[in-house]
Amino acid sequence: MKPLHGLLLFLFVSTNLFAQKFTISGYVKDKETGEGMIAATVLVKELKQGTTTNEYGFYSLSLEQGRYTIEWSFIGFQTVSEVIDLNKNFTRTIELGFGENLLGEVVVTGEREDANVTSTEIGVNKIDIELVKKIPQLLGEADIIRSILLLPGVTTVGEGASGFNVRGGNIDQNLILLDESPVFSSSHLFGFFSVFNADAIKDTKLYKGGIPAKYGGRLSSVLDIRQRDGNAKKFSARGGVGLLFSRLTVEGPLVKDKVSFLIAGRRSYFDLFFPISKNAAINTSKLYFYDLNGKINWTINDKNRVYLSGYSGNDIFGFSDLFNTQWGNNTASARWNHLFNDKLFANFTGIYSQYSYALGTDFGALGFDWRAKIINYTAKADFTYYLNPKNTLEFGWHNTYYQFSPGSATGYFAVGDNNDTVTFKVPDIPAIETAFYVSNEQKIGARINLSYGVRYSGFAQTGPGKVYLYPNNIPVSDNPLVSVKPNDSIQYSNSDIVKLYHGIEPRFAGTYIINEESSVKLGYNRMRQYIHLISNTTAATPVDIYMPAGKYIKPAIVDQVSMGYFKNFFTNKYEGSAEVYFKKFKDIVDYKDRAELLLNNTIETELYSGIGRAYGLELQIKKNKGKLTGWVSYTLSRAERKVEQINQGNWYLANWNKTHDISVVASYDITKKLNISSNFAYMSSRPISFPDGMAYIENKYIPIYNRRNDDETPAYHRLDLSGNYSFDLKKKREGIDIKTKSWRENTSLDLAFGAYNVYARKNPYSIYFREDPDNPGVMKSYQLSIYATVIPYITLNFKF
Amino acid sequence: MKSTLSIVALFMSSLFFSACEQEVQLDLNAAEPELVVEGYLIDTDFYIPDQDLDCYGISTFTRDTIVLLSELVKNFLPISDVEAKADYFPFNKVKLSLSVPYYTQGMPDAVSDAVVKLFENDSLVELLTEDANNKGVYRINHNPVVGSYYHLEIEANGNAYSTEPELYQDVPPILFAQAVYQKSPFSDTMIYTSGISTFEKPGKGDYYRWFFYLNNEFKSASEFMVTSPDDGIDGSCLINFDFYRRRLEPNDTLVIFQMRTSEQYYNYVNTIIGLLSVGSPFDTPPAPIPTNVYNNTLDKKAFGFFAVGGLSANAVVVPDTLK
Repeated sequence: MKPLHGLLLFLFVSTNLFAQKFTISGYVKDKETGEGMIAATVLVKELKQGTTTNEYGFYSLSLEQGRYTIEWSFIGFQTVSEVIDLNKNFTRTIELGFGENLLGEVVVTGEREDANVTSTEIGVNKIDIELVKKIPQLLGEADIIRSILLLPGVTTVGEGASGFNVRGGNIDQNLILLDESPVFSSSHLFGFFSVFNADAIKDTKLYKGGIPAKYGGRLSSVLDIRQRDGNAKKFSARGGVGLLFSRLTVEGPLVKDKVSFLIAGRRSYFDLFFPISKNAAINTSKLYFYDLNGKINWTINDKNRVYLSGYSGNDIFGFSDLFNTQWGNNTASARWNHLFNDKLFANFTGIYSQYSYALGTDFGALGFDWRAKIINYTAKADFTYYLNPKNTLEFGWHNTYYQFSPGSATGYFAVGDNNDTVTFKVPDIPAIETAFYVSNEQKIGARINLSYGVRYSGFAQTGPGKVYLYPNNIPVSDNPLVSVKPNDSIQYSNSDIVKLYHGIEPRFAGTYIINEESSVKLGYNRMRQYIHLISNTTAATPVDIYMPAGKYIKPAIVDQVSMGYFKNFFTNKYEGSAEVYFKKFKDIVDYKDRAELLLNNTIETELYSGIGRAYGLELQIKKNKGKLTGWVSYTLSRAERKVEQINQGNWYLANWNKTHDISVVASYDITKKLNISSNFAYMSSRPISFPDGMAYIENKYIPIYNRRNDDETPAYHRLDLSGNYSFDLKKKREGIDIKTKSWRENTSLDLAFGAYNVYARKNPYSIYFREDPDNPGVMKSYQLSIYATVIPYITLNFKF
Repeated sequence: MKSTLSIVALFMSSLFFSACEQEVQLDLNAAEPELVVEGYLIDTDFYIPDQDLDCYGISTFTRDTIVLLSELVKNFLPISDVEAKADYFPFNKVKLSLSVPYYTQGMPDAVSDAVVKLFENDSLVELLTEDANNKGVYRINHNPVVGSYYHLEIEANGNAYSTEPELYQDVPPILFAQAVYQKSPFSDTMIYTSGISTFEKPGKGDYYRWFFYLNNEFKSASEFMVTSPDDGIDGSCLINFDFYRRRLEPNDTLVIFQMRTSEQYYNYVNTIIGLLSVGSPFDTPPAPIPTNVYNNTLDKKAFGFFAVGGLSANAVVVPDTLK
């Protein structure tokens, strides 16, 4: 029996085993803002069964006729309880108010206390935005991506490097979604800051394993980020003023409880200091980034809601009038939530996402203008069918149209006293990706929770376009001195399919609950990735490009198996977990030595294909309650690759391999007004290549390298400290009038201060070998450190 | 495009205002010494087009002008003058040395008393003799023939080596070289730069290298190792093109050598450029130096390259004062 048939039969049997009578459904919202609450708990006390709200705050429970006590709860908020005679279908939308008695003692995680034990999620981390805002960050800017780096199984090649690596995967193997729109570059300023403004973010979840069937297209992780909807009750604003950049978020109802909006913006102002310089080149330069988040949500009625979200972020750098570059993401999504009935929730989404870069110089005869981009348009339909309290079925269809524009460059050539231009363009490549999925989350008895499903995905590189043909159909040479030249080409027209790939992606996650405080979990997923980041630099650059699978570049596939033991202590005050994983990669891309990847219309001649494996152990203990919160995590891992043409076909370490990774994150509320926090991070060495000799050529020594990634950089470690002081604006003063009092009641003012890299550790980013510029003929080795000193910060945050 | 990438890397690197570079001492492995070959077989064989060259409708190089200028260039090439005065002049020589452990200071050991044979289309044409004044340097006297393949066979230190055959091809001549007085791209001041006028041989798949001697001093830094394929300039005129990309001072004399090379040599030089252009977070990983020299005794690659190709040269002489 084919797997899909087996699954459908299983679901059919499951459906008929549990005859439902009536349904109670609705939304759970934040009383103060009207925002839907993600993963709030809805519990039927008599049955000790329940469900959680979805990404839009919706829930549905189908029960047999009877009298039930229903509890709606969300950690940090007051629980609402109601006895319901369930003799018809009910709609209950509940608003939960903040639990004032818990203020200052609880870190709001959103999930029920034992969710880490009982849920089927394995290899999943929720990133708590409130904690992100408390912990020390570079220049005080709450940074989701930097916070992710403190989680087990997540590393980076180095400080300031763009992106992040999850469980042995490359940075392009992470699907980053902002309100369901894919974001291709997650960093500003080459990796210094993330593109996500924490003030605009409601919920962030990182899936490292056991990835649900509704996600696909990347091998190693999904980072699902949801923007806040905007306050539907009243107008408010929040923001922060820092030394080098500031941010402001404004939100409020356009129609109370019906239509709300949120606009958030950030801008750096390093460039404001440039005019101080006496250097003409510097004082006319520019260097800044900005981003804007916007969202409107409209509750049309109980059955229909519409969300419009947008993001635009750009980095701009110009050196005098000579050199200008810009890169950034733009995304927009329109979503329509529709309740077909009390059990069937649907979300229809249209998405536009673009990443582009441009750079150019005005160097006369050396001038150029260079542009590249990737655009995708996605239409998708996702359905959730709440069969009964024990089964929740999800299914859907996703379709994405890609337009890859790998690059065009216009060069300016002097001809006599005139300038002429020559344009070189790597042709655009269109492609279509389609996927169907179906999955079920099932509870079997009181101890077993399962999540299983399949995704079937297909990808077609289409015309128009020219595909080169090579002798013996092999485009890449084993000889580093020569490249293979095409001996023919095929021109495809609009309707042609250049190459089609498709395949099944099974997903499974299962939990066996040992008791109320401990469980074991098992996860398996196969993921297929049809687009590849083409980059062979130590850190990804803004001018890297994505290329689709096609005639010569195959889609990469990974199979991951993971197991975990989850244990909570002291009535869920502490959460502990130990997970092991093994990943097997197929058809991953690696590069020829000194591959030329930019503006290359025969890029297949520079790429090798190989296999990979990654395995590791992740330990974490986390404290969620009390004045002291935070976690300690340790990862022992290895990420390796094997490519026939590299290191004589032996296994070699991936650039981002970090054998040991330790993070300690602690936040302590000294008083209700004063909080201190710290991070400590330790990562063992990164693979690198060292020379084992020198050759004297053209009057200079040239280092000789023999094997890729056979040596190691020194270890990385860093300590950050921060404090947050809340000013008491409610303090009574004599002579205060009512209006002022009201203003003070609704305003909060926090001063965040701290220091990054407190003991000024010069962490190695890379090590390189070259002649001493002051002593020609003397060869030396140098270590490059990105943040080589302590970086203090102070930021004033406000909310009113 | 190499120049484009260099500019990008330069500006990206400048952003890392808090970055720090510090010297570190590492315990490195030391491979066994191996032969390093640095050999060039060149001659002044120029490519002359069959017809006049139309330069974008703006100018025309008539064939007669090209022939005349080529003869002038050939007869007044400053090759011997540069060779006599420069500290480094690799042409028509084979230099043999040994690789050394990293951190070694001083000159490498020259490989003396080697047997170095030059082959033309697999026939021995010359047994090279070692320069009495320069140990490890073997002079080539043979005049190559356009369209022929050349390789070396070497016996040194008890090992037998051979190089891959390289095709000898003619080179388009540098017709003019002049100092160009223009506005600096970095400021409002007027400066002198170099400009050469030449053309590219029609037909894709050609590669070039330029060597620079400023006031008879070889410019050895990686930024002066300028190479280019003919992508985007195939069959084009290049007028007042500045390959040197640096300002010149009054009274400077810049001699520019233009060599037609092979794809293999182009990749070899570019790998070296990459190995020398380090220090940015956006460096590509270091790579082994590709070579066309093989140690037949130990059945492994040695180091270096034996290159052949036509060579043209011309001199930019800067006036003694700014205009």
